[in-house]
Amino acid sequence: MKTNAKKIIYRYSSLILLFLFILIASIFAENFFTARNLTNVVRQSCVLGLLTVGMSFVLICGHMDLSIGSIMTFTGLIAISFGTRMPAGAAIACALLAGILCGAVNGLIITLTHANSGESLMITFGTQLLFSAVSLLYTGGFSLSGSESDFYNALGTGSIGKWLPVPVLIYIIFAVLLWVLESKTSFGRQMHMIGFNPVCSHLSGVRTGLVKMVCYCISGFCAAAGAIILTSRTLGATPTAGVGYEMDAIVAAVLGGISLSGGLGSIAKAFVGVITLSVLSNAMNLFGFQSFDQSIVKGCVLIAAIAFDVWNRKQTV
Amino acid sequence: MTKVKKIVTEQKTLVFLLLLVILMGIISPFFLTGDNIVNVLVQSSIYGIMACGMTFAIIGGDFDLSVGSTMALSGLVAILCEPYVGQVPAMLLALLTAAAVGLVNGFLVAKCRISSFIVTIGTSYIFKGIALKISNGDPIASSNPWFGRMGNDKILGIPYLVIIMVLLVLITHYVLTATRFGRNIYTIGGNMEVAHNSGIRTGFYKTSIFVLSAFTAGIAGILNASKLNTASAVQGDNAALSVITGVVIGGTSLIGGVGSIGKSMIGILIFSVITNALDLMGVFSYYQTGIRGLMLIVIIGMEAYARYRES
Amino acid sequence: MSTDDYILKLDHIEKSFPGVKALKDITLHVKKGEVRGLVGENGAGKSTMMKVLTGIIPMDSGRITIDGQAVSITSPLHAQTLGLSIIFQEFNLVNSLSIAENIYVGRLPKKGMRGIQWKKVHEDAKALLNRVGLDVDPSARVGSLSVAGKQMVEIAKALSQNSKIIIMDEPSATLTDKELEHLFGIIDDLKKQGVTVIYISHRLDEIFRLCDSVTVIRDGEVIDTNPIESLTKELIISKMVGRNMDQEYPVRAGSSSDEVILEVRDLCRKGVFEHINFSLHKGERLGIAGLVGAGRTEIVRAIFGADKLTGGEILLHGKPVTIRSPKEAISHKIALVTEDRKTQGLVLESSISENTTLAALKKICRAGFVNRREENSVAAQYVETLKTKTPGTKALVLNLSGGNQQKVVLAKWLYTDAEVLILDEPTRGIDVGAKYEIYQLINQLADSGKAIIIISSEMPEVISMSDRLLVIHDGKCKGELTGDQKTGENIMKYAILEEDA
Repeated sequence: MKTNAKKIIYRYSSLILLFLFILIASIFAENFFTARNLTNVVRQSCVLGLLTVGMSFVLICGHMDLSIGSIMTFTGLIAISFGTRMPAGAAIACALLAGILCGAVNGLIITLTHANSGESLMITFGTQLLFSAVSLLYTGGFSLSGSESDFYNALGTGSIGKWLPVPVLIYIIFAVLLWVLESKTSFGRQMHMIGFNPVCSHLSGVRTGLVKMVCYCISGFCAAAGAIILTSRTLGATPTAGVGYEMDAIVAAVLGGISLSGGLGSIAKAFVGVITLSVLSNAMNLFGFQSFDQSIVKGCVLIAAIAFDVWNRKQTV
Repeated sequence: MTKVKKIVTEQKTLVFLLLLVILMGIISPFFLTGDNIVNVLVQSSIYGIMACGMTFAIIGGDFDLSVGSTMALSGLVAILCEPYVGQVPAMLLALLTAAAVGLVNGFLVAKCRISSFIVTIGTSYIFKGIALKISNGDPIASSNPWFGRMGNDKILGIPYLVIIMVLLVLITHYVLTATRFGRNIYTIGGNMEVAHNSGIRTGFYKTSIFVLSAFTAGIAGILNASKLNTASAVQGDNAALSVITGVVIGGTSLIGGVGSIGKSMIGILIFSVITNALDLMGVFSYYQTGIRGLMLIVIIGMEAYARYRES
Repeated sequence: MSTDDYILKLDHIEKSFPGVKALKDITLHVKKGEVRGLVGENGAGKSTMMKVLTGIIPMDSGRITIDGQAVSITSPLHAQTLGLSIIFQEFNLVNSLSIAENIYVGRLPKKGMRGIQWKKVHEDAKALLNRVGLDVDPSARVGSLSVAGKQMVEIAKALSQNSKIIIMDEPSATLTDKELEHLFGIIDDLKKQGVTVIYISHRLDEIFRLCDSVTVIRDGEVIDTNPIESLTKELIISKMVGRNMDQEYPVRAGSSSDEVILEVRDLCRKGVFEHINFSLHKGERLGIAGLVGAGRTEIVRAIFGADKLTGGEILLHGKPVTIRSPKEAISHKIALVTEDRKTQGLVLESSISENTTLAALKKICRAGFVNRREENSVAAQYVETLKTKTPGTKALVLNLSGGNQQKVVLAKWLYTDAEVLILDEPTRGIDVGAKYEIYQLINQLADSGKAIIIISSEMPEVISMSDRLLVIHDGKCKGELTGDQKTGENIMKYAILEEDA
């Protein structure tokens, strides 16, 4: 009985953390638990949410992607600049395609060189530099002002009815589709198995290179989707818009309980991690924390969550 | 012939650096002048100093992504405390702060057994937050005229910065090759369990690794603030990954247990030489970012592929 | 006999883990200069005993006496200072460091500010390496050594600590016979120098070759200790398993047919093996014998598409096929059970179900979606037919014993409907009881028409479990043996003698 309770706590530790935050925020900030604010929380989590979901695919198959921030920057610029020359839909398609291509570059290099986890970290740091250089060169370092298409702008700012913002809808559709892909399909299964043991997977007939490649493409695609929502919401694209997002995505994924050593994790967990981070920063805003303090709290929460996770695992094993 | 081949294969990065220097010497007559060489060394000095600590960390099988925050924090402490306690005590306080940061990292990695990657991401948020808080997010200029001289003056034509870097590199080399402390770090990075079974106090060494890494980041922070005569919370933003890149490109493996300070310095110098060369050739800085990225991809990719072929 | 003759005495050692009593009243006395064999099935308590002896885990009660002194050992290092060294199966070496440094790890000699005396380290290491007969440069990396070389470095390390007692845990598992003979020579020398050796092994031939006396352990208890002269192999086995084993290897009922399923012609992989020709019939068990490192594993890996071929032809049912990856091999109904179960055969952190279906995931997928219910019932079926001992199909493979893990690997490959099953060391590290079950299974599979290739370093195994036998030496096929020709002498003739020619 006692061990069962422990197991449940361990299994749902990230959810418990989330509820704890919601509880604290609801008690101490009176305007936290309002429909308006909660919508806001979810709305603000969309961009990071998309990036984290994409990153989770790469993390689960045992790798790392530091380039998603700069892919987001680059594809945001594409979406906005192409939008001046073609219909918004076509520009969006181009941006998404560019995202997939960037992911494919990562995936191809990592597959061809048979890079391990650490090396994939360094290689994607290299592509991060590469993609951000391309972004800077593309605009000469200048920012682009937002799209004139109403359709495009609605993607980040519009809402269906009163309480369903369009970006949230997009995020949820993406997250559900990718969750199905991750947890229900043979592709998802293969991805987890590669994360746990790439050698055994290869010898069991799994096309490890292809699966990794697709994971990086999904990561790039999600970064592009995030870019579209971001540029739509902020009404413009800057060549530094995505800086630092990759670290936030890793933090969110880890908070949700995705292991950096591969195999363990799910999109549902990534989702929880992102919402946790979003609730945390929203609550801190309501409490009137300055951005410095927020950074400190975020770091402390990350470490406390992981320390708890490690401690918990020691107890249950 | 075979001996030459052996040297070329074993010292790939050194050969690459030499070729780069020769090539640049041919392309730009200004490149091999004394002034420019000193210039390159000054450019590498801050990251070179941080590479000393980072080499300990990576040989020990760990990452330290918090060195950027540590560097910013120590620079700020050195300037902000000066009006109250005087310059030298302020600098000592800055180093103490840095060591304390390392102690926190080390405690979390060694005692709580959390992966150093996550720990140092977490602590870099925390310490950057503190740096922003104490500076209110603004750059702080030093009011002590003596402070700025450290990072800018020369002795016999050699800047203090370079002298300090060389000294630290020599000390690191001595510790890594000639002391049990250094060798035990190799053992820990090579195989934690063997180290433990051989009676090496792994907890102590893991903690020391992070203290050393943070300490050199602290020195770099003070010198960087001195060089610019200003400290700011964002000064170290790109430092961690840049230093790790240099160390890894030099041939210190991320898996741990392999590497040397010499190799790390070659990696750091390759980057400085390229930056310097591109500057001399008048290449736009945006291209430089891209070229750095490409180089990183090529070098790490080649290393990964070589490792794969071997096994 | 006075008690002082005993250099190591364990008295009434007890150790419990939650739910299990791992060691029950262990009493073991070893004389100075003796070579003592320690045998027992996997899980009998040998490794727990070793861990207690090295202080890795504390004992609940009991007394350890070394050289007349009662001691309480707190760590492997402490054990070493007491003159007790253990050489584990998993070597205690750092691959990235030099041989010399490994020998002196954690206690490199130093002199004031001059630091470590590297010259002395290398000279002393060289002397130790000479003593164990390893002729290599002490500054070479340990990672560049063969398994045998690493074993010798471990022994050198033990000698450098002036160990009075050296315990070797299955040192022979990965050694070739020639290397083994060398090891035996060293143990004989050690004995002459008054060093006591405790030799743990599954292989009774070695026990008879080396040991003065044998202690049998079963279910955490010492069954008895006898001088070697009073024992026979059969007697030891019956003590180990607690029952009479009339036969170690089951005899198959059926026989192979004439229909050729797999044929290889002139297979080559540059620098590894060359001109390999053989055919494999339906229902046949083809053994591949040879020394470790002769190229046996490499040949089957290449057939399976895991390594590249540089020449030759593979024919299935008479038609030439190209196999460029394990995936293609699987689609041609070939399966490979690798020698290294834990790193290549299984995803340890996953469930039995997930491992069972890994190589044939398509079969339980509809439109790309995994049908978990079907997956579990498939896995449950194999658990039943292979008699895998597990609490359920959702249990992690990590928590199973070696024999049961191997059954999961076999289930994975059986589920692919493979016609050709290649088994590379299928019973390595598996205890006697489970071994017998696996042998029975191999026979059943052959009788049902599967074509089986079995590679083994254990000569009796490869002789008894094959209908036909190939001997590989130095990457070449040296001979084919059938029926009465399949003897240890013949295998060795082909596997070793050629070398001198």
